[in-house]
Amino acid sequence: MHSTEKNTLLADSIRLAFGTYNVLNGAWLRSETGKVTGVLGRNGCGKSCMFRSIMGELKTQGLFVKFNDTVVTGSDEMGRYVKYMAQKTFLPPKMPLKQIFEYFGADYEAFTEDFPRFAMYPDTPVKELSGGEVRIVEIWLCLCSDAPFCILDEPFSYLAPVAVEVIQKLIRRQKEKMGIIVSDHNYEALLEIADEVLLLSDGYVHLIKDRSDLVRYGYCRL
Amino acid sequence: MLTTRQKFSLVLMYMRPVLIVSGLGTLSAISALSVMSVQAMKGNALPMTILKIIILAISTLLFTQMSSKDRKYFYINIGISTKKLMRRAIVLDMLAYFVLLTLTMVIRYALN
Repeated sequence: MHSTEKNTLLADSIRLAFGTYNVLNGAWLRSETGKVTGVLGRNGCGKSCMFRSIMGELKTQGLFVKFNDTVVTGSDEMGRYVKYMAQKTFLPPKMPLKQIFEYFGADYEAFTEDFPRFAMYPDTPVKELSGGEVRIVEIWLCLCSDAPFCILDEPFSYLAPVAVEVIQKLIRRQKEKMGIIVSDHNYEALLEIADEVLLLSDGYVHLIKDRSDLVRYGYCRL
Repeated sequence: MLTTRQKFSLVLMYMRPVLIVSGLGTLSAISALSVMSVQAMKGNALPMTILKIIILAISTLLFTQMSSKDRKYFYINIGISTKKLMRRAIVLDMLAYFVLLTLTMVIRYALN
């Protein structure tokens, strides 16, 4: 689905409550080809819930998702437009890496060009890799898929600083082909790659112009 | 595009816990029916089938409540609906049960 045309993704009016606790009060998210959208927020503010809602995996009280001019509903349809890397690993633990790449329709050789050390792992099951290595595989599969959008939920967790730099480089490269949404608590690394930064606070989304906004909304200190 | 074999493997992989529990239910029901007389087998086939369906329903319900929510994204990301996988597994399981039940009944009638 990669093409030179510019695609847009808009999720709007996201309302989510668990019982009497309101998690999202009309939150929104947008992305477009060529842009990295960073999503920040304190622990438990609902970032992952917002992503899961968009992916159609959480039952919301309100949600509107549009891909270009098409309204999208349900996880089946969303899976075609958006690849989602969840916080915890989603790869089957017993499956060898090469087989996973076959299911994703991805090229293992291309992966080893970006990460040469994985050249010796094609037949290694996921459970035999370290947490960081699994993370790298998941990030690459989502970023280098043919979907027009990708959501990465905490991609820099478990990664060494050198690996974070490689992933940042990969995100910068892939944003030419897709719209990328990234959420992470390593906000320095996120701010370096993000073209637009959003902050989720009290169920609302705020557009962040500079670091002082992050301080103002109580996300970090100066 | 996934091949039929890949899709079948995905059904077995995703629904393995349910298929194991329900498969044990199938084997127990078929074993119990096969040692009964033909008359008793005729009378007990329906209750056994209902019991088997209840086991399948409970194991499916427990699976949907207890399985990892993040694991689902493997299937969603490769373009497969987990609901479809679940439906296919249920059909597969019930098909296996009815084939085994029919075979058992045919053999028992033939031996009688």
